[in-house]
Amino acid sequence: MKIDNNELLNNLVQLAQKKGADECDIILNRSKSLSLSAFDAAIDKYQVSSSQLVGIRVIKDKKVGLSSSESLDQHSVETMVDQALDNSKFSSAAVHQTLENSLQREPVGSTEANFTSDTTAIDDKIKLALELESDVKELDSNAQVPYTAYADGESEKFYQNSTGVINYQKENFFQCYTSALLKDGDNSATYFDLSLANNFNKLEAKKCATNSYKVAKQLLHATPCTTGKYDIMFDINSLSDFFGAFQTIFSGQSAMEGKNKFKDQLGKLIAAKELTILDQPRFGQAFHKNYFDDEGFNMGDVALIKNGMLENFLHSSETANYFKLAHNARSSRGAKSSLNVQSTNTVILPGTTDNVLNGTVFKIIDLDGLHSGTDAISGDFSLGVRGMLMRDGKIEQNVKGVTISGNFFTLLNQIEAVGKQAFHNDYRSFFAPEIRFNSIDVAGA
Amino acid sequence: MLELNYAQKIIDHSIALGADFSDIFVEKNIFNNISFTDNKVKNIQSGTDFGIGIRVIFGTKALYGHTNLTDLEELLRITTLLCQMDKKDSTSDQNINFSSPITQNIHTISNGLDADVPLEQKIKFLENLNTLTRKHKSISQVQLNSLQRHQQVEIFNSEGLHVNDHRHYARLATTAIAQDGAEQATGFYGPGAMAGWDFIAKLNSEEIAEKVAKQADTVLHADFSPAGKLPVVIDNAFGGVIFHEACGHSLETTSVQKKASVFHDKMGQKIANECVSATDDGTMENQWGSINFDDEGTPTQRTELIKDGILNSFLVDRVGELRTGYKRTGSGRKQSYKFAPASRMRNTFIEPGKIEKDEMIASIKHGIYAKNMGGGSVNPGTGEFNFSVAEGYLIENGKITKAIKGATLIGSGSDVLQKISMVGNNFAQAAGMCGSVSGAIPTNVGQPALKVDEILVGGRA
Repeated sequence: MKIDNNELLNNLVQLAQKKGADECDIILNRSKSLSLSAFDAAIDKYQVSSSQLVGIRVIKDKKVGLSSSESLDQHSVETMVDQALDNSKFSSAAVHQTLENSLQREPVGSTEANFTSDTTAIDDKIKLALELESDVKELDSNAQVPYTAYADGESEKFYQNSTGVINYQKENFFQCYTSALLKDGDNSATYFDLSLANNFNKLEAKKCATNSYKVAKQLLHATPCTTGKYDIMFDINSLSDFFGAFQTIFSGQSAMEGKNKFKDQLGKLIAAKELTILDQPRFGQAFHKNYFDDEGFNMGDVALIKNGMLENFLHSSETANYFKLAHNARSSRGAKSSLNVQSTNTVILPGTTDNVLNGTVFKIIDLDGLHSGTDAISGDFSLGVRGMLMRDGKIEQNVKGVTISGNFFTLLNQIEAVGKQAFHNDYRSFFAPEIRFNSIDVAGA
Repeated sequence: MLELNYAQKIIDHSIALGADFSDIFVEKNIFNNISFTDNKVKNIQSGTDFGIGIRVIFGTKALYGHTNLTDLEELLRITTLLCQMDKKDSTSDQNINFSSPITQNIHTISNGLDADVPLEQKIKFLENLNTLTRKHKSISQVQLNSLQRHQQVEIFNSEGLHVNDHRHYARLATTAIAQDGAEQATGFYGPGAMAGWDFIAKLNSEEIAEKVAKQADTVLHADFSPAGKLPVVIDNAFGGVIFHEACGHSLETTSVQKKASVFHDKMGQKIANECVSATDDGTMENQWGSINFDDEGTPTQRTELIKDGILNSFLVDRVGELRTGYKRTGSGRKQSYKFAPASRMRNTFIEPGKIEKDEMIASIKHGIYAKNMGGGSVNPGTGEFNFSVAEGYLIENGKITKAIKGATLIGSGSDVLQKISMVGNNFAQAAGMCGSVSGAIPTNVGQPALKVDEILVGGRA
């Protein structure tokens, strides 16, 4: 039976209100995806999917209840509403969580800005995956290519709440990746590279294969550098991953819960004056343009750090109410998850240094252990890394088998230089110049 | 959960299109999670996931599709889509007859979500644990999460197999944050079991509160770890993450079949110090990583991976068996119907030895004692791993002296296995979530205390 999505959401809002909810909002996700992997000149895995998920948040007597269902039949969604109301009875009062908010928002919003219709034949997608593997093999017939894949996906998100706000977003992506694995005696090295696009024809598969092989080759005979303190910098993907591990410093949610070291530092210097970081939902070069947050509010730019000073946290309606600060529309909530905050596209503004590679610097191109070797609360990090020891811009030693250690909060004040030119990560969600940090502990030989 | 004649039609359709094998994975997953923070119930989440996964295999090529929709037309459409590239004239016009549904429950479950206790009872438990943890004066915040899940699974395959399985999971995650001025540090403990609420209710709240508060307080006041190649004693339970990351993933046929494992050609060879024997066991009663059947319907088993340093077995799923020739070990696992199964670990551990932990500590002049490990990761292709020390201490002249923080251990699996020189007698296991190609699944890690003669410690130079 075909289900009318808007009618479903409307009925659920009415049902929740009829059953006693003071406020409620509904999120419905629908998605389709395709993924296939190539190995030994054949497609060895092929996966298709279609899925749906609906979730409700009810607020009754200032208490919040959540429930979700992957089944959309009448009985399942009615049970979901009942469960959410039951759950709310046992929650403590969340006095700052309300859908009423002074921030202006459009009653109805709809966007397909992140969607490009796809008419690519499946055979072309298969061909791309196979060529991605063979491109690496062409560069070196002894190379192993264990992980090569193509994937695309399309998703729709419907949002409706009891204040009458209705949003709809549709988006899709195309992606391919490979990972060359090189071996020479006891030495081995691998490097993963990907290409992401909003159009099949814009995927850069060849570049992906070449880069994966080139970097793996560079690292094959790399050795540990001497233990000591080094000036370091990260390539753009490593910098994005590294900053991402400490993203909670901008979270109004973690500040509200007392888990953010900077919770009392708004308006204070927390970083070197060369550092300015913005959260820009519709940044021009970004892959993904964000229009509404997950409570239906319209998103705008937010300055996080300006010339080293902490300017703003990212807020949901709840955290903004809690701190009595202006709401900046960064609510995050999935159909299954509770309210939190989100960042969108991170933009670090370029600085004034022409060449950040003067003298000796350790340039990191690959990081291990971000999920275990970083502590977002204390700021401490200790990570396995690979990269190059460089002198005046030239590679002196390819390096692996070493760690870097330090504290992220301290590191923000160890900025030696910020380059003039901006780069973007593979996902085009992080934009930054080269940044040189001074005197970081490196453990190796 | 899926009508039998639907399952028959899907399997028959795939075989008619020339598939060598096909199976159907039907899943209903009910969950209930309580989040308690800031001295109050922050939220309660519950819901139902439901979906169907269809897999067809042509030769050694696996194709997988999934959907939430249960109408036959959609299920046959997905089957046709999966077969479209490889379809061939079928040699058999199969009319599949399934066996009577097989069920097997080797675990005793009390108060699963199908026989749940009242929410008030759960909240009272969390309130008490919160109070006990906050009694420690340095603790500024406590986060508690109780997680419960009842996964109902039905599996059909073209060999006539029909399996029904019920899996109940319960886990308690406790995080304490210690604060001194602007400095903060965390302590974590997350026991879990294949069990109902009964498992959580029987946990000793005083001990948990003491454990997480002490860990957070110790890290808060610890000095930074020294850096360099040092001998390390890794204690029991979650210390087993070293074997899980450094070796376990490389023994899964998921990486072996692509020769993307350093151990792919080492069967029967010495890959570890002879004091090391390691096992992956899905049969252990009520353990977090235990199962009745794997997600391909194969009964679970105990698999001896390494015996006295010699590689004895890989972890093998159906596709792994087809591609490597090694027999299936009941290791085909996945997070949900949204993933195709892959060879994965269950309860994976290094077997106990005979040496006292104190003896290991006494043998070290300058090194590290890793009492509690954090998480880690590995690249199976190169065997390079990293994992963090959540609570560590310096060893000086054979004695544990001061607490240290910020230590990461890095190295390669094949190297570190050879450098384990002492295996302790204090075996214990701990629960974790393991992420890989087929999603995040519950697994136990385990070991007694181990001495590794040399490992690179990332700390302050």
